[in-house]
Amino acid sequence: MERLLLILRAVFQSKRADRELDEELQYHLDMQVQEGLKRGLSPQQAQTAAKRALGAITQRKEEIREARPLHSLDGLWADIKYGLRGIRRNPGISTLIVLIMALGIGATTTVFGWIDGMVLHPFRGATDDGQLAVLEAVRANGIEAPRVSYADSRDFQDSLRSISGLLLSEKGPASIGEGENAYVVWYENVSGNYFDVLGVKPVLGRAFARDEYGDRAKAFTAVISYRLWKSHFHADKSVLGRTVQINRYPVTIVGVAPPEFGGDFPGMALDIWVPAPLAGERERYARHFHAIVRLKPGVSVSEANAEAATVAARLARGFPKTNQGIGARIVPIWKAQEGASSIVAWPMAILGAACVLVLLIACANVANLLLARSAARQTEFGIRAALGASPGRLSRQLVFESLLLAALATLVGLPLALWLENVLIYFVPPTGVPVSFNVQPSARVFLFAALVCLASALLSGIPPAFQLVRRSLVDALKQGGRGGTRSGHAQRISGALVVAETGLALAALVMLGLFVRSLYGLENTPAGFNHRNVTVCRLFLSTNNYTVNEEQEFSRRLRDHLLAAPGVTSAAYSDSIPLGFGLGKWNSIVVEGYASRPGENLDVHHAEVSPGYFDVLRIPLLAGRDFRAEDNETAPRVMIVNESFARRFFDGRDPLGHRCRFTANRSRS
Amino acid sequence: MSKPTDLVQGTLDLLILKTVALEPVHGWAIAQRIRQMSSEVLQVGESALYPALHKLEQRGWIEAEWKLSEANRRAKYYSLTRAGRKALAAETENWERLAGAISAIVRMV
Repeated sequence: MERLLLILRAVFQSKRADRELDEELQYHLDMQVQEGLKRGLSPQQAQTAAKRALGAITQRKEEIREARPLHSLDGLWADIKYGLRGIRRNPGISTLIVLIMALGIGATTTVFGWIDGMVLHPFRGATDDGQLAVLEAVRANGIEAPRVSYADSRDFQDSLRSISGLLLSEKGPASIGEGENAYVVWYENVSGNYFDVLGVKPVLGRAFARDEYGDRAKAFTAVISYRLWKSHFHADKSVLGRTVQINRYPVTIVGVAPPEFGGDFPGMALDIWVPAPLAGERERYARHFHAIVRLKPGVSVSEANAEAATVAARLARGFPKTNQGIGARIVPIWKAQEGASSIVAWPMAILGAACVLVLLIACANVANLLLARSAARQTEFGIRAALGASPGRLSRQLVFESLLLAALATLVGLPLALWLENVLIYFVPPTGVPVSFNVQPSARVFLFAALVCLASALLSGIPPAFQLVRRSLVDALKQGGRGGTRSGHAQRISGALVVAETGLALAALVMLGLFVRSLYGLENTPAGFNHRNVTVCRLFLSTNNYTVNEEQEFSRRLRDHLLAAPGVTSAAYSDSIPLGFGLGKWNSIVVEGYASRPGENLDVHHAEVSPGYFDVLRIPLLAGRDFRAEDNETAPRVMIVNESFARRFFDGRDPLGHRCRFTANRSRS
Repeated sequence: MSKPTDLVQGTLDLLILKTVALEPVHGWAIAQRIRQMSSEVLQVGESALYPALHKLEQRGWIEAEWKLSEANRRAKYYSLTRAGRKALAAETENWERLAGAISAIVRMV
């Protein structure tokens, strides 16, 4: 207790302690003078003798101060003052150092902000997103089709003891409004517990009520995004209870989501959530839902994953017709197959590593500059050492100076980082979906920046300080007096720094070279089609509740109109584009005359295309003919295959005229 | 004037503790008493005395109080704490063992 009081006193009264020390010593001096007078010295002599005796103690005042607890705090202000003075005295070098470090800190903070927002915390607005994970179906044949069916999800929800909730969602385009005023937004069909599982509370209105979802839902209701509320409904609070046409269904708006919330699909900003119509969802093979689970507190993803695998195995035994060969896994959001997180995870990790490298180079540079400066300041340090400053104190000041520089660099680097964060938008390819990444500046990112600042200060401040401590201070004074040549030791450290710097820079350069080389290679990889002078437009006919025939008719007429337009040489339509986003369609195929091995994966990807498709993309036809307008719904079905298909299934024979069958529908070539 | 290096390591602390144990006393008087009690053999310089005093204070063995001195001036009076009393006993025992050992060796020759 007494000790605590002393410490507190030391913290708050270091000035007073100094005054008291002076008073104590003054008393001693006066007594010494009186003693001298008693011994018969003249007042003058007594004064001089006493002062000489006491002179030795000014050197040791620092030692007395160091005996105080927390005396480091005591010197803090002095360190700041010295540090600022040092920075001001070398404006050129200081500015250079600050700029170099700001660049490193800014770049690192930016990239780690991206990683934080896109990979680690992609669900903006969700509560405790560390407990959220993705439930995926796993197929034995390796086809990536991670979605689950409603029927299976019910079993997972009932059986998994490691989760507290399971939500389903299925996103798609929707038209909101009617006629001329209709426009496309992205919506999600969701399970009724969607907002509960994510831990999102609507800022206006409510989430779905019990009788609005499930098998016996009576009403069509919707929660809309804050963004849509502002843009489409002018932030009008009377929007609650209003009925709007969504995909030509009347839907009542019951809530508005928080501004930061954009759905459960990493990288996309969704605008409308409606309870999924589940009445028809009886079949286990109808796997079209994205499933997200909330883990119970204390449960790890791997534990939940193990449990999911056993449940899936049980389902496979119980329902062999639909579930044979289909497993399940629970993975962190960033490992999920769907969503942008998994796509960007690796590039981001590489970018992060590159930034750390750049930061290290910056630190090595700064350390070298500081070293050069501290060599030039040897006289100053020598004198201060002679006045009683311990080497520890001096090197602490050096570290402190670099800390100050790093703090200044962070002040410059943070706005830079905040500005750079938004540059990400320009890297996103145009996909026709509203792209949104959670790259808002967060407390985590600021904390990260502070840590980077601290690390870089220590990295760049320690070598000069180390050099100072290792050398005798008398040496410093002698050498400093001779004009500040650099000692052998300083040169060794500086040499090591240059080697490290060159090594790091070389590594960065090699990395960059490899990247550029790969990028160049990618650019020049023949994709099998020519996209020059081709533009793409994406239409969402499903949002109009068209039948298949209506869709076909619409597309045919649109193509005719486009072909008649000036400047258009060819036009085609298709249900997917090559190298586009999305999983595409795939199906198992049986080819006449091809003997498949038992257990062979016969899945192939396919697309439905219009006549002229191969002409538009300049894809040469090696044999046979293009589709014609006569190849319509009533004509015998035909298909065109690529070379690798022909090689695999016909092995040198002519594929023309052979028949194949998809397991779902019949086709013939 | 004897420097702390001239004294056996830690002896100065013991001398200070012993001096302060008798009654509250200020720095100047501590130096004087050590000199008088040792019949002018031991001279404690202020450059050793004050750092030692402050160290002991931080360690909680002695405590300080500002009082009026015999010269009617404010002076910092040091006195022994409970912990200091224990430390003094231990240090004394330690010293006697050490001194006994040294003199035993010295007399043998």
